Amino acid sequence: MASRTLAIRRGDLERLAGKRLLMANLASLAATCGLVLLGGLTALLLWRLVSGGIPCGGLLEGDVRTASGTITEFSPSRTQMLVISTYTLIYGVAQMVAHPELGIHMPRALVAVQVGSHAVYLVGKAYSLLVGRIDWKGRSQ
Amino acid sequence: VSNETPPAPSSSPNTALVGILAVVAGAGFLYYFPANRNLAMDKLTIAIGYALLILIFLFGLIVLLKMATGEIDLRLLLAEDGGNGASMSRFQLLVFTLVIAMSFFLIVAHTQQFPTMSAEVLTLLGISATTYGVSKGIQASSGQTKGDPTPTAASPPVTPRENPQAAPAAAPGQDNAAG
Repeated sequence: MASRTLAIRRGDLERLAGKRLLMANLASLAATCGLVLLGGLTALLLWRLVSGGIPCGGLLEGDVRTASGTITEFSPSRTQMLVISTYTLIYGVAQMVAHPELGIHMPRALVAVQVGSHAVYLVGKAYSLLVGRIDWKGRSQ
Repeated sequence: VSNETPPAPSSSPNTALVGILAVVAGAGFLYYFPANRNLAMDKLTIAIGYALLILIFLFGLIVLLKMATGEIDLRLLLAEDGGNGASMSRFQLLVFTLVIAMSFFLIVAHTQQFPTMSAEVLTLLGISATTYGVSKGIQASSGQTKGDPTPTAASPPVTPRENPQAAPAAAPGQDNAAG
């Protein structure tokens, strides 16, 4: 009887060990697959951005409405948005690399700055496209 | 009456892939088919985990390969609708999504558990998506869309990159003479 109980326990232990091994293999395989997919996507997009496959021309230029049509010129609101977004991303990634167990944490002030930056961009864009440089009294620049 | 027989349908790579997967799944099921019920549940859990992983990986891989070969066109990924160049809101949303996805992947790989999404990260993603949506709305309101047939008023070029497609609607009391 005792030998039979021991045999059952030994079988359970082997089953448990096998299950844990398979689950560990599944986790490592999932990590590898995720790395391949995410890394591949990032590398592909970066390569296309660098090589010109995805055109980035005019990223810092915006359309402005005038009386004679729409012109394209340098946009300070886009520039400030790019700078603040880049800083936010670098800050977040640096925090994450330094303390990966804490996840991505950002100070609320930085989030508020980001909100303000986006608001400035949107207001600037709306003003440029909907109002522009039109003098409603009859003159335009 | 023509004796020609219709050509046999060519087997597509997708059919072959599904066939191979079915054979592998069947062989695995036959090999791992257990008599013990607890063992069966364990095996089923692990088998579903592997099957889901393979399925999701293949979906992602197919999309990635189509992007790499150019079958999925990425040239207009950042293009602004009706505008001249790239869209800042699209670019920003793309970069935010990629960086946050990579960060979460690294966290999962490091801690081996599902991470909690902080309110700040959700706020950042929400801001980006909202900015993109509002930006599209502003463009649509200004009539600067892709299929806008509004002709451009003849005018001297103000900058070298004048947009010939988008002309503003006539404003009340507006003088069209450029000054």
